[in-house]
Amino acid sequence: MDELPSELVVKILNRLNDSADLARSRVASKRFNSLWREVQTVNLLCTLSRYSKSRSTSVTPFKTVFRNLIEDSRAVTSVSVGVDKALSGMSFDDLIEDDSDELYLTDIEFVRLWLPRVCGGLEMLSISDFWIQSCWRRSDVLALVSSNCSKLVKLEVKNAWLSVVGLTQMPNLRHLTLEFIRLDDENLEKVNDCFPFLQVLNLIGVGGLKEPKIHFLHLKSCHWTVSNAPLSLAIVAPNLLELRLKCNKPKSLVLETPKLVKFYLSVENAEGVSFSELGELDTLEVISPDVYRLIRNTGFGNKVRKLAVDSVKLIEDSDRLKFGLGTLLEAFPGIGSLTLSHVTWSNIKTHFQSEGLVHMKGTDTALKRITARVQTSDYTDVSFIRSILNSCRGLTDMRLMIHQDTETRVRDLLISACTMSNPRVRWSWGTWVEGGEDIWVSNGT
Amino acid sequence: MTKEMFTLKSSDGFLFVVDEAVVHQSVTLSPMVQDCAGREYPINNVTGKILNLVVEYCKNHVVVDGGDSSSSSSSGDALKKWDDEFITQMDLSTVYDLIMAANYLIIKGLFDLACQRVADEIAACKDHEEIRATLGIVSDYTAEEEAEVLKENEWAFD
Repeated sequence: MDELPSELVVKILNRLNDSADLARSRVASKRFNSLWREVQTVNLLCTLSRYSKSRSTSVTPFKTVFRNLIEDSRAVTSVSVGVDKALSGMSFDDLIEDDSDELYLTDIEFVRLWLPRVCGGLEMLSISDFWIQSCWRRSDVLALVSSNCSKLVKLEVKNAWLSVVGLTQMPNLRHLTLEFIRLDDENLEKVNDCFPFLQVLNLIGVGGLKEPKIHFLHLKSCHWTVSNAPLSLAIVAPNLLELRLKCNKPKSLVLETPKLVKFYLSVENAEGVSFSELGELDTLEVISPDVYRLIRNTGFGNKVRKLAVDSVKLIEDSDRLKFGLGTLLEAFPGIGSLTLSHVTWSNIKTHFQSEGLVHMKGTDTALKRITARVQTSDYTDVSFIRSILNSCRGLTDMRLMIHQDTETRVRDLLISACTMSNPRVRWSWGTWVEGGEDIWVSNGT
Repeated sequence: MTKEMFTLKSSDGFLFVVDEAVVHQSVTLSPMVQDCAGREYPINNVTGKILNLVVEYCKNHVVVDGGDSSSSSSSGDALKKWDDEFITQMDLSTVYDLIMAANYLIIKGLFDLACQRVADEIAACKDHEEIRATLGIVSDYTAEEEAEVLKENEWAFD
């Protein structure tokens, strides 16, 4: 290690994710101790053990450790300070003094003490606050950051109550994440105004919104999980390529995203949903009990190649079932790959059992692969699969995951019946369980 | 169109014959494509043992033309897996040499991979003694100096 020149040692130290790792390395050698200030990242996390220690022994307070790191570093471009997720599960009763500021990280008075030292060169800033200490007081930290950090490219704030008063333009910001935030910007007007060149936007559990509209000319990727109020939502993003949207029962959901290529949509009730044609869409994932209405009412375009559907609610009464496999294939004639949750599989199987496979275009579907989770206890899946394979002559790849609790005898019968009667198909088998990982077993066994 | 081959010569005289796609991965070597076909190109500060590893890395990272986009994510995973195995099986003193070679030859992917390996080793150590043992460092602190640095960084030890 001694032969490595100092500039290379600094490059190694720059790859440490955690300032605590860097601190321990300082004690290991004088060389590290002389070079640590050149490291460009300050990354400090208050873990549960560190928090518990601070309750009982006299250790250096977290904020002091952080400020010292900032004070002594010379070339910081990235700062990440936060409270471990494990602490977010704590309740008010766990705390001795619940109005303490010890871990209140979006406290403007605290940020004013260290931000000026690094703001000139800062490119990345992440603050994950301690909800219990931050949720009841509003912070002006966004205004402070916007007026001081002109080079900032990526900003992330979690678990806080944020005001947008005094927020000014940040033309260099490309990436914004707000997670579990109460935001005093009802319709996102200030956010739209002040980050004109944003490319990635993540709004996850952001409350305080009324009629939010996301409107960015350069946005490429967006992840939005909307809290439960039946809001009007709008996304106007002419260059958006990827969208992950989770909402409940929006009064209206308007999308103007003509270039969208990948869309992951979770919605409880699709009555208010409308979008202009998504002519470039290639990958679509829908999680909704209202799938049928979505398919009937919206223009998902003809280019969708990969489709995944989770209809969420199991429907056993075939009269109430509105769609089967044929409906999906008719609505998405170009798909090559179809993935189905166990609920969707069960619903379309029930539909098949009462209607047969209707609306199937016959041999000219482009479908090549089906991946499905199956919860089976009888032989009905075999005849369903056989019918599908007879109708979709292009289908060559069947990947089925059987529920972990299925009797071995039933499972083995299903596998052998399928593989024997359908030789042209490549079969892959696996097991699944709620809340667990899917396990794929190699073909045939 | 036949591929042009180039000969690289390590500091201790070993010869490695590689094609253009391998050479281009090194920013330092890339210009030699213009004038060195057929001649030996000496790389004076990299031994045969290390140059062998560099060539192995580069051969595996040649970008396949006309790859079908649906397989690119799985081949990306396979490449990452190869990288992990490649760098993990080496002892650290080889990794240090590889860092210097990748720095001289300017091969970014290899340089980042090797540096990250060392960083990961440091992060996995729970204290300074373990760091010294793992990295092969002899402490140059006096007892008092060490006590002082230790106190200053006490917060980082669980």
